[in-house]
Amino acid sequence: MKNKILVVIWTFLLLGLMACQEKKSDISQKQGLYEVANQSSCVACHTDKALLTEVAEPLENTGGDTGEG
Amino acid sequence: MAPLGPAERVLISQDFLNSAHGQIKCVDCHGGNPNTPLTKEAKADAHAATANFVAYPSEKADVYCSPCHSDITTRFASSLHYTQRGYLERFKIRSGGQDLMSDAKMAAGFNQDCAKCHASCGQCHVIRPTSVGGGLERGHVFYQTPSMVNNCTACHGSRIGEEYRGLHAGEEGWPEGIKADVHYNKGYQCNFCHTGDEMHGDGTPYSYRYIDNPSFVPQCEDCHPVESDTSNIYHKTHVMGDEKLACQICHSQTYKNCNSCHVGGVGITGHSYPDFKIGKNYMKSALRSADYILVRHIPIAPDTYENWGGSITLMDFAAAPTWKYATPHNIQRWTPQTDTTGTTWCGQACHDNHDKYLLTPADVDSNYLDAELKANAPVFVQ
Repeated sequence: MKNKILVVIWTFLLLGLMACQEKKSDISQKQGLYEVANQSSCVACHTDKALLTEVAEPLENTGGDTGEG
Repeated sequence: MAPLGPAERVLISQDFLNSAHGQIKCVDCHGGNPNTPLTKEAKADAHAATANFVAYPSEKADVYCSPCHSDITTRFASSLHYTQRGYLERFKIRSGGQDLMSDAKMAAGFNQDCAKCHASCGQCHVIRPTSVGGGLERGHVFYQTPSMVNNCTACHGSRIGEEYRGLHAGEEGWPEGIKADVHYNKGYQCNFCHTGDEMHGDGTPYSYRYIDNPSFVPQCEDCHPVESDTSNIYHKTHVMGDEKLACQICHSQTYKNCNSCHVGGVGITGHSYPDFKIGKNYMKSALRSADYILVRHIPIAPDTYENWGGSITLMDFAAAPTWKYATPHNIQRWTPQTDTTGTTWCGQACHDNHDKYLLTPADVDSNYLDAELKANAPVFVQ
């Protein structure tokens, strides 16, 4: 009887461990990639041309419009 | 290339938000603080280093790009575009084997003046190169094929880009009738010949762009096999004959040369000038078997790097030519060399102009006469 109880307990423990184990998945699932991007202040600002025109500053030295190669 | 305005440089598009990369949270690649007010004052907080803001994530391709693109990033890490090893190895040849990066002042100077030509994934596939100010090329959309004008010739512009697009036509000092490259006129962009595999490399840390790897290096014969063409007397004589000429000798036009560039913001202290010079092939190999090639004067001088104030000099300046192996990108079938109009025999246009075309000691930069004569001895035809 005691052995049966131990087997039942171990079985439940094993099932619990398996349920909690992190699935081997690709990077997109692992790091939350490919979720819909949050409407953060990043997106709110960088899609607002009027706001960007107000806050973006011109570069001091752009290095010209063509390379030396 | 029309420059991007300050707002356009960082404006992201709906197309990007709808794309695969647009599904990734901004902070996953760029860090920063995504919970700031939309005010000018909060801008610094949003992009603060303390918030781990990363302007150019692909500078660390192994972190940000490799999770999905490791097949490319592992190869690209050793490519010449990424490492600039070609430049550093050319420097070593003239410096008696000393590594430019081993001197702190030289390394700082290189990072300031030259490293802007280093390419990351983003500088070809997301933004314009930082050497021309960067900025999102297509509203942050990731594109597979770089833009010829806004990516490739943004770096390779003053010689290759201008020649390929025929931009010297009508320019003072250039011959009349200069044309764009025939391949450009037919609509071919850089990637038609220079494939992604060439750009990304194969994982081998090559030391020079003129490598002997037929898988990478585009050859004219890939599209224009001439070995079987016995009807063309030019090809029969100069490609299949005893003395072989590089294709460009007959099919290129006048191209740009430069003398004496100096670091530290000084730039070209000599001059740039149009010329067309045939030299001996001083670097013959299996893929570059021609006996004669076109050569272009590069803007190197014995004191090019003095303004960096480092301890490494070009002590062995003459170890490599200053008239270098060249493949001008201004190909035409009919050029001043091949055009027989008004001539009495087929080779007259070229053979009656040896003094004009063949590289001689009279063509060197006279400001550095002794060094130039020694450096180019293997290239002089006469």
